[in-house]
Amino acid sequence: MAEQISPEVKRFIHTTINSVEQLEVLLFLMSNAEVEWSAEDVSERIRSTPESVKVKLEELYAARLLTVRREPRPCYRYAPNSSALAQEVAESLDKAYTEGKDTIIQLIFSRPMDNIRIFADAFKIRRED
Amino acid sequence: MVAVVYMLCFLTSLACSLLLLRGFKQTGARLLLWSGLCFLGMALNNGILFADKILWPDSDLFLLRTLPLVIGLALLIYGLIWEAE
Repeated sequence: MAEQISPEVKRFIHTTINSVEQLEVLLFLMSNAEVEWSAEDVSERIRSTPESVKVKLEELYAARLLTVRREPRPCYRYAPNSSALAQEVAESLDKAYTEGKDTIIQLIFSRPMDNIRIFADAFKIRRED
Repeated sequence: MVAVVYMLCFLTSLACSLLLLRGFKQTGARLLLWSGLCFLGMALNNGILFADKILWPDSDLFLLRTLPLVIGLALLIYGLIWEAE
C-alpha cells in the first residue's frame, strides 16, 4: 500500500508530520486556505482540544507551512513557503489521505530516527527542494 | 602551522554552528538550536584560543575561552536530555 504513495509525499510526511492530529490540522487549513483560523476554531472542526491544536499550529508555522497574525489572538492561515511544501505534493497528500488513511497513518508511525536524521540533514549545504 | 590548525578549528566550528542554526530556522527542530549554540561556544573557544596562543602569547585567556565552551556543552546536554521527546 505504501508504495502507491509518491516519494515526495513520503518524504514530506517523514520530515514534517509527527502525528495524525498535526496532519489533520494541516489538511483542514489547506482546504480552507482563504480564511484565518484560531486554535479554538480548528479544534472545534477536527474535534480536538484547543491546547493540543495550538501546539500543532505552532509546529506547522515553524515548518513554514502557515502564516500567523498574533493580534488580537493568534490566527493561522495555510500559506506554505514553496520549499516547505510544493502545491502538487500538497494535492497528492490530500488525495492520499482521503483514499488511503490507514496507509498514511502507518507512514506517520513508521518514521525513521527523526532527531538523528534532522541533525544530519542540517549539514546539507544545498537543500533538495 | 599551529596557527593554521587553530584557525581551521575555529572556521569549522563556526560553519557547523551556522548550518545547524540555519536548520533550526528552517525546521524549528530544537535539537538543532541547542547543538548550533554548542558549536557556537566551540567556535568562540577556538577563536579565543587563537588569540590566546598566537596574537597575545604573553596573556592567559584560559578562563575566557573555556567559559563559552562550558556554556555551549551545557546547552547541548540540556537539549539532549530535557528536550528529548
